[in-house]
Amino acid sequence: MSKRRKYQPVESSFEQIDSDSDDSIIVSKSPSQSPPRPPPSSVQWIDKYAPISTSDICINPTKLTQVRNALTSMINHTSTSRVLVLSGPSGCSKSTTAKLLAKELIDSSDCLVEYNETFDIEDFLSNCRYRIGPNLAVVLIEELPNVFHAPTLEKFRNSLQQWISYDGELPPLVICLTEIEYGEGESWYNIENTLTVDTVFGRSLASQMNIIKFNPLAVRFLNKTISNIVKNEPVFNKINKVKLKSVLDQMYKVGDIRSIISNLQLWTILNSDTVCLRENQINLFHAIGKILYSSSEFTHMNKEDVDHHSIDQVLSQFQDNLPLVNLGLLENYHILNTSQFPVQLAADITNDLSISDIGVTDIGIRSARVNLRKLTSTKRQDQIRFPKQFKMARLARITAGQVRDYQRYITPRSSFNDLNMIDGYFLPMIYNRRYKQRYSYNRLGGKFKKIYDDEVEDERVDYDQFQDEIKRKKLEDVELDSEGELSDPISESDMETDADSEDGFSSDPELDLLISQGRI
Amino acid sequence: MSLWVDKYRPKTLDQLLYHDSITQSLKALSKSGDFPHLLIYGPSGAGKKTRIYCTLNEIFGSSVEKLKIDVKTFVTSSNRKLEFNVLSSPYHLEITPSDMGNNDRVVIQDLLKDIASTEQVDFNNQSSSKTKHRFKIVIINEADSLSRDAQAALRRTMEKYSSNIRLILVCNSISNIIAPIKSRTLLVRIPSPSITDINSILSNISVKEGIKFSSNDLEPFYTKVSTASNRNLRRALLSFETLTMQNETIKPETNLSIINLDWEVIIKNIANNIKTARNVATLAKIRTVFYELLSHCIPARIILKTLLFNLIEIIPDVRVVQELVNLASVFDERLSLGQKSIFHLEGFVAKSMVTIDQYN
Repeated sequence: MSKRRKYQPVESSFEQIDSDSDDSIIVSKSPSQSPPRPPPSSVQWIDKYAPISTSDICINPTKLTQVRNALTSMINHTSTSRVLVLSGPSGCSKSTTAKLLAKELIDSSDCLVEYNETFDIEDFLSNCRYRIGPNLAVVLIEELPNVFHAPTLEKFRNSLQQWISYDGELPPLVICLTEIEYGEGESWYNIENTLTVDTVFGRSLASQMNIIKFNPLAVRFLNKTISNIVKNEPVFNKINKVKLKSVLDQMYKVGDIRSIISNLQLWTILNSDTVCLRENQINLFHAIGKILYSSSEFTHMNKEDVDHHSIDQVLSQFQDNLPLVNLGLLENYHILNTSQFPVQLAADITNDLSISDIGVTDIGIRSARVNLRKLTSTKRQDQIRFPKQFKMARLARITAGQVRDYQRYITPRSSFNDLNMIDGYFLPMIYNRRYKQRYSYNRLGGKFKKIYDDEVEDERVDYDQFQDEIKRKKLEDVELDSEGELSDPISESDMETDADSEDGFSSDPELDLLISQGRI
Repeated sequence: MSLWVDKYRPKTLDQLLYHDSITQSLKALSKSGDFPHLLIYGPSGAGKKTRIYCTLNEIFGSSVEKLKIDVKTFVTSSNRKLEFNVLSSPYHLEITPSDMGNNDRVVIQDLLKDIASTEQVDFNNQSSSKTKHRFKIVIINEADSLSRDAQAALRRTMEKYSSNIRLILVCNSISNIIAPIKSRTLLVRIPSPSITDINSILSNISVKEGIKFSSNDLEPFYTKVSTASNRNLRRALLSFETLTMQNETIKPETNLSIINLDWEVIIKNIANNIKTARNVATLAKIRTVFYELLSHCIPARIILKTLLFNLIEIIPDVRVVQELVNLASVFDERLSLGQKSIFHLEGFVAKSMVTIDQYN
């Protein structure tokens, strides 16, 4: 008896109410209080209803065709690119599409090689080169190597570059990249807080790949897949159709098929009114867009309410990071109507943003929306860009570092601002004349140059005699310290360059290069 | 071959060429062997530091010129390591509080306590009892950038350790210095040298260096250099040296545009842009330029100030100028209150565009 109860508590529950053993009362009470549980199934729906052929995939058919064509042309070697990148948010059928298409296009049981994080990326890719001809397989990188570790990322990019420039036949390489934006804190637009095609591969590499961008799934396609599940799962027979529909409508907003199916299964088990939905985080660009154009979600309401809701949505999601949204607005408000609007509006917006910066208030965000509403046309040419503030701060740190080093090692008596703003401009002109053709001095702290908002750095350091002198001085200091002597007093005569030792030092261009790059 | 700025820097009070009355006071001060805490202020390039070193030289002898630089580390309460430079001679040390960020109060207190606890022994002057220096000089550069609480802490230190520390505060303007400090120090204002002062220094140097000129009437040329340098002597000397480096012989028609600083030219262009095209597209362009300037550590307040002066220069209407000055002061305040200067700089530009439009 007890054995039976243990394994089939639900079915046996009715008999057990009459039973008088202590043990059975406890078992019998719980099922009678809660609604009947669904039959226990160890199978997750996500696995049970995994698509078997490409036609089952929950995806926009045009997107599927696009990927299929790209892959086919890679297999037939008619494609211009050797790497196909499928990028997009999580749960939009990227990997499933890649895997099923491989099965469909290559008639072999061994049609797919998957990268695993434990492999060395270099070895993996060089081994995969031979999966051609009769061994043909699609090489799929779904798990990325640890791209947050700079050397690993470098290696990853280099191996990809080698793959692209490899001289010979190659199997198709597919990379699935789930784009993530961490959005935490105010750090820069780089791989630390955004995982996108640009941050992972870098601009130059990305331009050599075929990149297909996936969007969150539309309700139409989600509905098709979900209704199939609803039809097949008996548990849905007992559920009120109206209630189900309202729950599904809520879930569809996420556009993440994996999360929707898991949530749906959980919901049927718990059978509660609440749905634990994946929070649909809007990223910074969406937030800025919502303020600039107002949200498209609330079109059925009147204008004021639309604005109210758009602002509320952004405020609630970016509570802790309003300065970042403000910076984004400042960077982008001018793109509306291709900048054809009165300066008065711009003045009002920037003035309010400036007030926002004094005390953290939402006035800047509200003002931007209210003022931009006055525009009749909102057509735009430019894309929304990430604020340049962080790039600026980083460059300012580099400049400050260079000037400070110069101050520390060469002219300790000059003030930082004098060096940066006055001496930094004149010194190179004086020195370059004085030591004609022998040395090349750049403006102290680097030339003035335009800041681009992208994160792809061109950190090439021009050869600069100032840096060289600083390095030399540093080396001298280290030597002196190691000899246990007091560091030499820096008198003004020390500033001069000792021509002889200088020459010996500069005669080795490789060494100079290393020094100027700070490797020594 | 050092720079002229350094080569012709006066080493003693007697070598100083202008502001004779100040030099006399400093001389009297140094003769007495002791002096109160000093607050020396004036525009940059006026010769504040030079005068301080000359005074120290007078008191302690030439060994104050033997400078060494130490990097001190300070561990803050949040366990962050803070590095700052201390420039020192046997008789004095020199610090710059802006190196220390928000921890200036703790760092300066710590440092001063450290110095005060070791009594200064003066071996050189042991014979003459009159000029026994039992104190050490601490020069605090950019004192106007000291935070309020650091200044408040300083005023107690000034009294507590007055037996063995003398402070010399150096700053450009005393408006940021709290009253208790002003009352505890001897205020010395060093104004910018006059155009004639600079001209005579330049002509002295050109004689010594044997600079070739094509004409004998040099005064207008010197005046141009001095004016373009905003009466900043350091800048005037550097520009002059640059000019002589670029040209074998200096002719009256020599191109002087080279002595305009790169960042000033950039700001001037912003002003011209504002004058010619007041629209949203220009605003966006100017924003990029602001970022460029900020990324080169040009302080935002200096950008605002220079921009305002450039605008005043090219816009003749008095009413507009009044409005612009008003706007600039509003945004200047916001710059010091706020976090990110780009908001306020762009706010100022947008508002000025509207203002200029109003009166056109």
